[in-house]
Amino acid sequence: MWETIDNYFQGKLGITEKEAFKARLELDKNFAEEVALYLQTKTHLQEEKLRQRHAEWLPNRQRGKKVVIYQRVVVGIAASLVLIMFGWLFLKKPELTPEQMATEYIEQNFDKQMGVSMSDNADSLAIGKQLAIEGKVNEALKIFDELIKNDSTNFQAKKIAGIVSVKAKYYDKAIKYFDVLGKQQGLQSNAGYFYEALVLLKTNLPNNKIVAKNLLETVVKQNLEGKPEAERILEYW
Amino acid sequence: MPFFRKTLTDSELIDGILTGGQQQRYYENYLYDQYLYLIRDAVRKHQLDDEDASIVYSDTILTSIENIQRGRFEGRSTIKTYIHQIFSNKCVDVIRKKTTKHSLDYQRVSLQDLLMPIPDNKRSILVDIIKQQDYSQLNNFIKRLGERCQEILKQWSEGFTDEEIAKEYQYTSAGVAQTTRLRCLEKLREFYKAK
Repeated sequence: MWETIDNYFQGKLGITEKEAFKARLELDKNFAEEVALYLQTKTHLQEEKLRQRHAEWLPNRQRGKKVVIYQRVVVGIAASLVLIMFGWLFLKKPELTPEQMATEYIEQNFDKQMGVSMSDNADSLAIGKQLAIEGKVNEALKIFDELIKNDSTNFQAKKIAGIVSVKAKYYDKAIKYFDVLGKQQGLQSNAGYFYEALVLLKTNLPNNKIVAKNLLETVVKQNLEGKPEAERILEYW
Repeated sequence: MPFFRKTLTDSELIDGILTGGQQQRYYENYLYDQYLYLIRDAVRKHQLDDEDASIVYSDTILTSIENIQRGRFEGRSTIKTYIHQIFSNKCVDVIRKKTTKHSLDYQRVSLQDLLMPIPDNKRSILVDIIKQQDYSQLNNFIKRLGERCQEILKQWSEGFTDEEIAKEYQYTSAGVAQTTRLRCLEKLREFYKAK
């Protein structure tokens, strides 16, 4: 009987035998029970295999869940770090060099000085400034030199002469004017050393930088004009 | 699923699964670990509960392994695509069965599928017998069969042919394998009768 059942489900029976098989299902209870057992055994074994493998694999899945959690934590931390780094790069203030700060200060403040006139020789100083504004730098400097020669205490002439020299890129001259101004005693406010330091930084030569630092430190120590700016530049050194 | 593990190519995986023995288990477990995310996907997309999705996934992997072993996986797609397809089909089956309330527990092969070769008007005879019979003892009876019998029946249930079984157990012919297998079924029948 088993062979007939097996051959039927394997499609090995001929038409007549198939018909006989179907007819016997109705007539022979014992035969039908064997067919039922045949099918049930096959199903059961397949189900059993799945249950076994599923039970074996479940611990893998638990481990997999943990690893996924670890991976997510690691990825989360890494993503946070990347975000922090990018945020820091984008949000932090651009770091200026002392040289850039000096140039920035000169560009923002030196022009303003050209409009002020307070000295005793106001007329000559004003003429010198006007000449400088018109681009006649050498003529202007001649006037300022004359003023200084006539009155060595004329700090305004020294200061404006230095500023005009800077604008004309006569840095050596500017350094000299500001150095003389810086050494001048008895002034309530003296920007000489501070301006000298700025010009030295702007020229961006190695030795000048060392001298500029010393001058800025002197400005801070002696509480001279430009102290807050000098402190800021020294912070970025 | 180790944190860092060498990624195997499809051909390495197939070779591994065909190796046999302990090595084979390693590759089977590797395959299982690879697509576990499908369980989460099934819960999210198909609204299956986690337990159902989990067993459907195990069935998918088992079916894939069996198909690889029997040469039914022809490599026309990647294993990943193949598994995704099988899993998706099985999920749809489960949803359909749950909707029509055919069965509450997941079944790898439904009885309806096995009864397909039987004409419609005769199926009810077998369904009635199956409903009346107490098959709860079936597992115990199978365990009482000899080890060889159990192995042969398992292979048969997985779809191995008698030729393949004969080759595996070094029988002289497929006919001998079939006779041996049917004797095992006869023993089962005797256990039932003696109950």
